[in-house]
Amino acid sequence: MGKEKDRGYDPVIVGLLCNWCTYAGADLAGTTRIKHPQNMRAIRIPCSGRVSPHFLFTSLFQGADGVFIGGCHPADCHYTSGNYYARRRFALMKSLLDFVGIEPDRLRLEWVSASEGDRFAEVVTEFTEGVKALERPHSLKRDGLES
Amino acid sequence: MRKIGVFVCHCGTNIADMVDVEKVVAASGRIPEVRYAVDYQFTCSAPGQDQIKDAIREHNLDGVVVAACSPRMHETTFRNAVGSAGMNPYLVEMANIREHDSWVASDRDEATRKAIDLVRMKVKKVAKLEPLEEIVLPVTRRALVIGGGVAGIQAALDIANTGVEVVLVEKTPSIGGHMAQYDKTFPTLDCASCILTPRMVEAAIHPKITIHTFSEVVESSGFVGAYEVKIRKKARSVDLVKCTGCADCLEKCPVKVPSEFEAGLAERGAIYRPFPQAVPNVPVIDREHCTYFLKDGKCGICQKVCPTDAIDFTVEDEIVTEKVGAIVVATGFHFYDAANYTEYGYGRYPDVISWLQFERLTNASGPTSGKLVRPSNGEAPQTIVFIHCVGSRDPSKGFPYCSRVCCMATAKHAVIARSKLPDAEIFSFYIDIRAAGKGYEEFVRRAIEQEDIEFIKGRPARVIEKNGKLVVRSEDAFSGRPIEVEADLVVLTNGAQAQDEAPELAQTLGIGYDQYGFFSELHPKLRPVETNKAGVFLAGMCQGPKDIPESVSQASAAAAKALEILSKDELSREPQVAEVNPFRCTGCMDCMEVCFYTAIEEDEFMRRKVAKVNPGVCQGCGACVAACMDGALEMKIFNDEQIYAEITGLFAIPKGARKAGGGESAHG
Amino acid sequence: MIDRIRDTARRWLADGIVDVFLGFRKRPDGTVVPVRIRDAGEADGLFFGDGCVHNLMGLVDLRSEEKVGVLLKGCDGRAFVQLAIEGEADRGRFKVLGVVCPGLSSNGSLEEKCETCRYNTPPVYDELVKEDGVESWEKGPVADGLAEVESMSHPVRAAYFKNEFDRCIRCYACRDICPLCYCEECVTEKSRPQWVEVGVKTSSNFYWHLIRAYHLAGRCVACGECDRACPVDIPLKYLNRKLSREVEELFDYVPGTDPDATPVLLEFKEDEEHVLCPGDES
Repeated sequence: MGKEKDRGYDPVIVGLLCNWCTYAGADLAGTTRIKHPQNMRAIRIPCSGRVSPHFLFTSLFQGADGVFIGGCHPADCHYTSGNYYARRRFALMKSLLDFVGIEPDRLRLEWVSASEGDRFAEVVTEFTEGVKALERPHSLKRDGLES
Repeated sequence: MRKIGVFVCHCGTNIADMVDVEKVVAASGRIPEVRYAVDYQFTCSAPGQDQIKDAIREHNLDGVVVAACSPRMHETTFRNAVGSAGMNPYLVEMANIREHDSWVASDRDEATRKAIDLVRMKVKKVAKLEPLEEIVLPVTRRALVIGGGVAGIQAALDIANTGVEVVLVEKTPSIGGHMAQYDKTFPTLDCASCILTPRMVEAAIHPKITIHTFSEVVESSGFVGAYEVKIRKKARSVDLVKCTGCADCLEKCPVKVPSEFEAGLAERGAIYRPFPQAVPNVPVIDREHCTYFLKDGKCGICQKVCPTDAIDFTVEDEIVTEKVGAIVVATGFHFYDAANYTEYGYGRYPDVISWLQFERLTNASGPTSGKLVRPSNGEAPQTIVFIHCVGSRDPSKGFPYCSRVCCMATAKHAVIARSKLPDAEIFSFYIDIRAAGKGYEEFVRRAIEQEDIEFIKGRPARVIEKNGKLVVRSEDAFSGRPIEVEADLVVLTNGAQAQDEAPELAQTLGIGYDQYGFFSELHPKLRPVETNKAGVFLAGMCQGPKDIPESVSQASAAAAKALEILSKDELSREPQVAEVNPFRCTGCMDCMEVCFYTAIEEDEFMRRKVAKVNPGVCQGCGACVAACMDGALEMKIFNDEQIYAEITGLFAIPKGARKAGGGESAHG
Repeated sequence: MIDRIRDTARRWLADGIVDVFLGFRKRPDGTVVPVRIRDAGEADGLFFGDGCVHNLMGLVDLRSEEKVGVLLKGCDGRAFVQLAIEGEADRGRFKVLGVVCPGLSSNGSLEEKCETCRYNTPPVYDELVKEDGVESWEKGPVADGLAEVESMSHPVRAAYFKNEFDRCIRCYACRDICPLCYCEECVTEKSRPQWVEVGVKTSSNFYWHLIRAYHLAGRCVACGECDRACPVDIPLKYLNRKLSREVEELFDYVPGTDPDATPVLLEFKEDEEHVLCPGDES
């Protein structure tokens, strides 16, 4: 096999999906064969309330072009309130990152239930398109900052 | 350096068709921590598992990545597999290259690159896994069954018959559910109450069953093996012990309101029992309609006539707490409101009736003693029209799903109508006939061929009243021509709908539900009665439309699953729990604030206040870990180091991989 | 006013109400430094006025069991309240001598942090002193100076902060002086995993400043000590102010102003989905 093709700006998205809702919703998108863009690499976490700012910062600095967090709908959290804490934390993480140069379209917190396979594909498609539409990597990648 | 094995599954063609499995194996081999990488047709099969076990022994592996389906599908399978080869079961992770990749990708190169990335991320995570021991907890050997319909009764009896105590909670004043209202059951036409009533009584007198009727679950805490549930026992106003069920009070009550049990075809008093065979056979006072409560103590006739002094207007709602180890939810359904279809005139024309009203009209214990008559004038109808799928299979107006039981129920109704009115003309308008079930298709054929019921394919457009007749207008889909029937009685077969309170109960119990409000099973095929909450099981219509035999089977299945827990003194579970590093902990107790389970308490370490996690109570959500700024809280299975490894693993392209053209560099 | 401060400190120490008193002293060269006194006789050396910019809550040993008397301005008082609601400062151990702060100047002009001050009086105190003619006041949101950065495009913002953070020498003065940084061991010193790389590099500097700001989200009391301590003049306050504004707009919370509040990231409202798309609330 020859040289890798240069794919230009082909964004990589880190997905942090809660085990009970969004990860299962992503599974259902698979089971029902709903095709969608494949830029996201999903990491299973127990709950959106598990998301620490480090997960976002590390993803972005290491090279992710976007971070997608998926949790259970409000009132439906498997652990009752993890998603509510996640919501507050995420709002502040996003605003801080926005302030220092990360476009808001690169970060998204979405509620996708285990029965919403179609919606999972829909929101991931929309988010991926949004990250693609920025047309270039963001400025905080480690390699970019050190060059 | 860890010695990790990577096992890439073809899943037949499910993965291999879209992902270049050989390339994934080759790329895995280039990751420094990987000692052994191989592919197989079906890694979950016995020979597939043997391949893993052999490799563990042969290559002395201390970590395994299985690149296959979702861990929600087979994580336990592979944990058990590596466990039987002597490896700690918590040293295995699954890279989801099927649901999250091959099944949703459209491009083979892209899917292959993604699979390679997902495997590498998991290898990096596995390199940070540590051997773990399961947590062992005592089990409260009692069960709670929520809902006293046929499914709830079955589950309660099945569990209680093994000697385990059961608490059965029913919202209405009597157990029995919808089945108690039906006349006959399809396809055998045996009398519904003849088969149900004995089971109700059996539950009532069972020494191991405690029944709380007129009661609701309001709070639930704890976890599998040790739930604590608060039940509101609504004030019945009639003493369950003193009342003899003589019914003197019922006759004297001056209030008249439509009877729910009779589907509005008859009236009941403010003090009432839903039906004569009610269990318990003790009336209840409906305080919203009772004169005593509405007019400040005036009336009280029932109290005066009661020979045993059983009536007490002063009792209040009571909260009882029950400790149980497992919960079966069997809260049933309610009928779709046919009045939403204004074109059919339900609620406007008295001779347009619902499914349940038809049941009551034909039931020997119903308001007409089983005489099938027009509600408007009490005369026998000459022409009857049944309309299927009212509220079902209709995304625009009702629900998109099929309620499953209505085709058979309508066939049953038509056959009952025929037996009562041999000369009547009977039509049944349907979209499709769904009669999958033992003896079901035969029953429909009997209705058509022997009972002379005319089945017409078509969804009627409207029903209008004209000269005392109900004109049903439809299209006959086979001939393509419009058709009009002048009917005396129109029966709308309204479908099943989730209970209005279902989402609220789901939130109380912490279980999932779908967009319609039906509770979600853990896996549609393999775990049909389990929920996402360990120890909570589903039975009957609350999980989705199903008929009586299916509800009863599911109830027995749920009982068996509950007994799987309740048959043990101790339960072991995944050690996915938080943990405090007391050296780093500042004792700010932020973790305690965000813990829903009150699993965190104050402790002392080197004469300082620190936090401490109770692993028996912790459910492993990780909210405290994210709240801890000191980095003093960690958790097992999803700890910071493991997640860090998984994130950075995405970008850790092995040296030389690019040159090998292995497809690792998914990102620029 | 200085006399009343000295009298109070002397009385508290002499009566054994406190073991130690934290205040300010003016040195012969005219500079002002914080001072910790244990003897009532030392109270005569206490001072208050221009130069008393330090947040004395940053000098309190939170782990000690000594009874502490402390002189607090409005901003310092907010730090005390925030520490109290976070369970770090035990109200019973502290005697607070509040100052209605007249605003501090240096070289004839008001300190920057005083220009943007919103609370000139500590929210809680045991005794309060003030100069004649200086009244307590509270202000709503004030201009926070972020408009310039916010008008930049995202790549330009990143370049702006890269330029600032490039100078960071990772001395951690910003952290060490902060009254609200009280972790046993800072996250930057955590090695499993090494979230924040140790080296003085633009990317790890960037990471450090982001996590520092996030850890102060909903907690920063705008005392400006981090800015003052920074030897290379990184505008740290911008990050803090940005988050303070978000916290106030989204959650209606101003850190350290309400002794009965719950820290903003330790609670939630079920019905606040709008925080995910600020500005769309209508």
